[in-house]
Amino acid sequence: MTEQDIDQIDAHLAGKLSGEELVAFELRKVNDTEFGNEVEMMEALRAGVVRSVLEDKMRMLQAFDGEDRREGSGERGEGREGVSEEHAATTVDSGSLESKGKVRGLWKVLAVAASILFIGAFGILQLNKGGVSIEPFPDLMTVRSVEKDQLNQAMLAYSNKKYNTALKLFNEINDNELNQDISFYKSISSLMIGQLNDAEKFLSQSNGSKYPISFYQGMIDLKRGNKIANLPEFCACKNCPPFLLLEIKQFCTK
Amino acid sequence: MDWITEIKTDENAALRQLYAAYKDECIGWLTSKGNVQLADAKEIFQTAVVILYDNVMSGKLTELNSNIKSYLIGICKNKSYELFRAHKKTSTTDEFPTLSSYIMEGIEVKVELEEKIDALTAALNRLGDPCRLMLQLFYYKKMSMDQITAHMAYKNTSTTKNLKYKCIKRLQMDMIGHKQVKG
Repeated sequence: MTEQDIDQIDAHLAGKLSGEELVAFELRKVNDTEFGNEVEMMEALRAGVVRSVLEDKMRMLQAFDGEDRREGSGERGEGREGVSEEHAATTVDSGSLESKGKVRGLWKVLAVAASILFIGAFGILQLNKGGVSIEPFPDLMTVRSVEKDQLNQAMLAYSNKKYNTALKLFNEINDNELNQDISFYKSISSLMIGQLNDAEKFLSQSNGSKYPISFYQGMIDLKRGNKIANLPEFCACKNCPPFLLLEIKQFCTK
Repeated sequence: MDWITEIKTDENAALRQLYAAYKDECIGWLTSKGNVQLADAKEIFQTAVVILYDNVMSGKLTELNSNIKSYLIGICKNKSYELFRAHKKTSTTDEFPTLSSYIMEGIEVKVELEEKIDALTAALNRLGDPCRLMLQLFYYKKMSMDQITAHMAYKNTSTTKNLKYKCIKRLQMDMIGHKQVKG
């Protein structure tokens, strides 16, 4: 299947082919079995993508439901089956921003009151109930080759959210040229599995001119249950890709 | 509150807010009037929120004639009626049976295609990001290559286009590899 084939199948499935183009397409589909199978695969891919998006949303709601229940009842470890710990670890809930640990009864009221005062006093935003989510930084590592297979494996594990495996593989790489890049991805991996001291250490060894260091430092602060130490820099979100900028903008302007 | 705009602007936050706001009422309705077990009621309500999201994102829902609560309860009602049929139709190992039945509704169901969709969803999950995210942005959010390039901070559109091609090829290879292992 060539790039052109994919474009053509996409156009067909989006209903954009007409006239001669459509006739030629249909003829090819009938006469060329391999092409026919590819069209079917692309059709299934579109449905598979829809499914993956909607299943992600289901998992997010299940994780949120689990957090919500724990927050409400003080119970722990009651997440529904199928919700991975890694997924749950990617959300900083508002409870962790307002206070550490379990807060009940009068303490809960006091904590909420304190957080309202804090918000009023410092003009900081009120987080939505689900809090701000920690998004792992996308794989933007551009240096790739067969010789760098270890790096490929590590980045694949990282992209697949297998952070422990990714860390193990990153640690085995000895490449001075890539040290600062690898440190950054090690930092995010550590953050995603809650190893906050390591996350901070690796972040300090990362390339500050290339990656959004202040954003993830803020995330480490939040995950520790602290306020963000350097809010202006966090909100400026230097080197953040657009999807992070959007989230930060909403977070910082609410 | 304009929920449709909220969902379009900050989808995850809006869905969480919706979920928290109407969960008790909808699940209460399902368990008391719909005679549905609590675990099923929860899955139906979660599915209803996801269907609402899908309807907004696909452009099927552009304005609400009733309030959002009635809309959600309406979906819950329909889904509770379909519950037993859905459980029968989908495999017992399905993680989200009610959601699966909704997804398959929109497709001319051929068993073979259904199996392919299952296999592709699994392959897509194995592939992980950035491929998974990129294909979601292109095929679900209908973003253009330019928009994806900006969203994912890639150098230029041709890099993005090339990556999309590579991702699809990797998916294809993964499917072939998996078939061989299974076969």
